[in-house]
Amino acid sequence: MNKLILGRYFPGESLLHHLDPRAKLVSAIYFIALLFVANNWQGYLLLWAFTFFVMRLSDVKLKTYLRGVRPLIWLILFTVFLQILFTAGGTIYIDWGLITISKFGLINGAFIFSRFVMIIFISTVVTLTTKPIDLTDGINALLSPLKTIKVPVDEIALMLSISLRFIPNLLDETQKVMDAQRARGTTFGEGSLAQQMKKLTPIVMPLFVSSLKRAEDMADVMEVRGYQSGKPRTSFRRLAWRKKDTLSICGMVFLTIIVVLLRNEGVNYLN
Amino acid sequence: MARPTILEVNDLTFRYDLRKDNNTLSSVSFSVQQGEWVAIVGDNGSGKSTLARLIVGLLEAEKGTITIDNEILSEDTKWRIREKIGLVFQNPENQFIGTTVQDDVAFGLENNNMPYEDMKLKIEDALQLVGMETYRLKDPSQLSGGQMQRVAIAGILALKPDVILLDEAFVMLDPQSRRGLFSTLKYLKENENITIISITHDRNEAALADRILVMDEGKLIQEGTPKEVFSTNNQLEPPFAEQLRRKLNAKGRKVPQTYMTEDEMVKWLCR
Repeated sequence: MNKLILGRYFPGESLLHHLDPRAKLVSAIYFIALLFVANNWQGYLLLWAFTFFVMRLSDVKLKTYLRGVRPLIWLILFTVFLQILFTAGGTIYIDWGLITISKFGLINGAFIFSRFVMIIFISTVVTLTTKPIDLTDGINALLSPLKTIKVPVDEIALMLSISLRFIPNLLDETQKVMDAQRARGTTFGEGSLAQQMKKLTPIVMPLFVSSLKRAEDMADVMEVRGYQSGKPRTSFRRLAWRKKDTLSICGMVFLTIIVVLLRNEGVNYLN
Repeated sequence: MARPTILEVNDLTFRYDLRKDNNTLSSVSFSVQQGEWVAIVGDNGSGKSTLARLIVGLLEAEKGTITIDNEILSEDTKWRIREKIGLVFQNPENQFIGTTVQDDVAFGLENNNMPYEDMKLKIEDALQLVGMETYRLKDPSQLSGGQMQRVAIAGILALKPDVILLDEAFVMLDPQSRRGLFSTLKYLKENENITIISITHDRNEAALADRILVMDEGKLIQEGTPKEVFSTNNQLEPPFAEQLRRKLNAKGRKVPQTYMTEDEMVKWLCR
């Protein structure tokens, strides 16, 4: 479980940790869109520089970010290779009939690679520096306009926050059940794939049962404490938009202006 | 001392499985005065917890009525009644809804649509009452079972109900914090006129009550002060002081021949 970096929170005191989750979410989504605006190496260079700048700001080691890319690296390389092999145009370096490696292909591949890795880096920055619950509140705030078309935004946010709250409990419980099975002589991680899958049944079943029991208890507690879905309720957790949040959004606007200025007219890879 | 009746249970009958004849509760009737501390004792499966669930309207009775503060419990009145009566459950982990201690205490207040500033004060008060104010920002994985249970009690106290119903809520607590909470409850009962109904296995807890109701197989079999109940009912294991008295008596020491509370015992021993 320790290997998964995307979606984890690293406590810290950096500037990014103290930004409003709304500002971070909006900026990240905006940045991802910006990745598709840039269309030449100058633009990408700038975006790379920005990404590294943000990663530095987060006070988290570069190694951690690289570990976040690792699970996806084969998917990225596969996509990049397809781009390189099947994009035609420009000087051709290698020509094997159907498969050619051309200048356009290489450039396109580099761009695709950059986009992929930067998307992962930036979203990792957001999750590493934002508590899951703050993220939930941020999403809740950003989705709240949808309430006008009767989307139950508050309920979804509450569901999310309760699920987040129970992840550690479920991990604990999985460990307990596995230990209990081990005490009864089961060995995990041995035998053929089919055998290993079979051994998971006696783990998954008790987990399901206890989760249902938990959900039922929880529903009772919520009801007794007066929770009624659809009824207006206040929120004790509050998001505070500060000057630095406005400044970070201004920074994004500034970045956009430069990226647009650097952009080539029309689609032209040969600058 | 004629205090108004806050809770009246009349001829309450309930069974989980309508196809079977055995009732979980059969014709249970009793009433509780405002500011009284009532303990409900009985073996496992005697219907104590079912009774608690019926009183807060989580289950619907087959026959009989429950009246709280002159209002008959029904589908229409249950939300109003739940503002007057709070139930603390047994399992501390499944009662923890918020992601931090203060969020969890806030949950019930949020449901009542309370403004932020009021919530802040009430949460502070409630956490102080259970001695958890320094843990305000901790999340449940950092708390012990006993601490979580105290937070659950704080969550109910913050709502300022007229009646607090405790369904074996002290099982997970160590003796010291148990004693601490007993004195808190006693304080609330004496100063805020809060009614306490505790469902318990613990004889020492039951001995603190003004009145004990003994249940067996869904029936109310005895009702009386701790003194009456423990000196006449041989099925029940008496509280520590009384056990000591009986043992001393059996050894031929000259102890008083009637039931003794802890205070009386201490006085007798130190005389």
